[in-house]
Amino acid sequence: MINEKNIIEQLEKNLMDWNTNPKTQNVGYVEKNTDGVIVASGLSLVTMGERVEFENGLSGVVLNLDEDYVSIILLGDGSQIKQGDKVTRTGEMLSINVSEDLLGRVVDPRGEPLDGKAKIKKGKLMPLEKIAAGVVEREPVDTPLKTGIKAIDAMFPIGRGQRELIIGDRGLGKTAIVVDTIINQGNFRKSGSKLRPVVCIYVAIGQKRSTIAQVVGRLNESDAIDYSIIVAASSSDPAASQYLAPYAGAAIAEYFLEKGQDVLVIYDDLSKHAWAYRQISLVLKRPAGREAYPGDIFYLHSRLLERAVRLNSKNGGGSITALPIIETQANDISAYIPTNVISITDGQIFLQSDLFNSGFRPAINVGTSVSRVGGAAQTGAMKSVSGKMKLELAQYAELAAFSQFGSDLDAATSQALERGKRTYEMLKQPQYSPLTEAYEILSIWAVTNGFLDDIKIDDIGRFEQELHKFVKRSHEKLITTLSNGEKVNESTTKELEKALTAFKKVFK
Amino acid sequence: MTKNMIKKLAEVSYTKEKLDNKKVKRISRSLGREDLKVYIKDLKTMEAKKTVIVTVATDKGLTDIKSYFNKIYPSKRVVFTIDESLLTGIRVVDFDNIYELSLKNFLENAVGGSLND
Repeated sequence: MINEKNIIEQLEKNLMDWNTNPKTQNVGYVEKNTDGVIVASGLSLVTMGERVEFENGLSGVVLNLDEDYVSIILLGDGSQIKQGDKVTRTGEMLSINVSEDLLGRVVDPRGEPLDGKAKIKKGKLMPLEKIAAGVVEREPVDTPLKTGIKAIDAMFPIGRGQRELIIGDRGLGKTAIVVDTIINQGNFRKSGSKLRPVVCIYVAIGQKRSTIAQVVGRLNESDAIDYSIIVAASSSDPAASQYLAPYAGAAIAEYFLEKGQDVLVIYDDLSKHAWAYRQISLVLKRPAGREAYPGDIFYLHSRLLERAVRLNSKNGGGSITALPIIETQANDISAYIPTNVISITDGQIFLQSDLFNSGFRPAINVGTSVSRVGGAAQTGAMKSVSGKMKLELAQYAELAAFSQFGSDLDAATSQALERGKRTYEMLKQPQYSPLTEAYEILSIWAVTNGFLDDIKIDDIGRFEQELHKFVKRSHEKLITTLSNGEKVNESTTKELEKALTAFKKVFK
Repeated sequence: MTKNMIKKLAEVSYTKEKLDNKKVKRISRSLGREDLKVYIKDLKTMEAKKTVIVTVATDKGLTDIKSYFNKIYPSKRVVFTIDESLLTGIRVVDFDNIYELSLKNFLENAVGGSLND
């Protein structure tokens, strides 16, 4: 609480270091206010991307520099700004105040709290726009980032520092995958792994407030909020906020990166980000290109995703893993924005509506999904079991297409088809129930080694659940061995066989 | 007519650094309503660029201040105004740059800073 004594002390302090240099200001005057974009005259010294302030305290960012005018996007409600209002240059680039206090909070792209709690005061100002780390500071991706989803961790592994796109139509579970991944980082922390815990940042761009509230609620329920930060620019927020949100997320991530921590940033979703930028660009009268997007739409996403990094030990050894999300229309991954982001990222997980509707969830299309660098980050244990599964699934896909034409199948083909069906069934996983690597390996090993061949397809889910419980109860050592991440050797194989045989005797 | 052409017209409306009444009348007669608006705006901007407004708290020592600023800005029109709210000190407005060294500004900063802290 401020009192007279404090005020006098502060005044005395200010008097002591009274600066006799004159206060200099570079000002401009509002000429036009249209759709959240202000055109102002003056401001001859202002730079691109600089923050400016209006008389009523509202901030804006300079996005266009013309000969006589500057165009400013507003970071708030601009209905009160009128022609002739004074705009002052601040000399600061747009930045966000970041500290550890931000963990567990929901903020807007300027760092203003949206969760009704107090504003974060002390922290470091991190610039929203920053050139990504150079080649010399980087290191190849070699550490896994576990999603807890069997299909992803086995076939499209994600490494710390990777950029993996999650793409698919609306309502296919893109957000569910990333929420599961965040929740799984909590399981990872509890498991006492040697790897560093991951700080999660979820950036919601142009989403419904109810959807954002659902994600926050889910993270709260699973205590994942404690190590997460949510940056939200909902669909009712100005386009400028939606445009800045992912950069704010990246700036927060860079704060933790500087401290040598591992960070996961989720951009949900970049399609809406592109829409927001298109809206701003059209209002700014920039030339429109394909689908009315501006010419620098590729750079918009490439400069953002390039900030995902795995730093070498000289530079702290931290990492930023980016999981951008793109929403497609009618499964069309060859549209403008999807192809752009596919080419920028190190792989994509493609969710398909046919699979979703047939009950295969997560609805990952194994054929079109890929992880270009994550393989190097996969543990020896997972690598040794997932290789066989990938091969069997590829064979199944080929045989399934052929088997549609003929009724007589030889035994080997029938067996491969049955195995494939069971493998697909095993890869199904309910929402919000990520698995640790040991249980993922256990399930995959069981199906690829024929232990599920005589189990009815409808019973596979129950078989898997009960198997996990059984092994946890009576073969705890096996779980510890599998958690080490070392390649499955002969003795572990024997242990697995023993556990599976024992379980099958009791499974009804 | 393009904006650049109108801007050039505004530039040629000056004779020896001063706005030429005859030229302005001639140009404004030949322009349409929309172009005329742009022309007037350009003239206003050019006038603002050519004018420096010096504000002081009292008229004490105004002659010295006038001669000082006329020397600093030889090619600009210097306008002197008095604003008692400055308390003491001076404010110079040179188009979009404002330089201010006044007691009012100091007190505002000191009190504002104290409240923020």
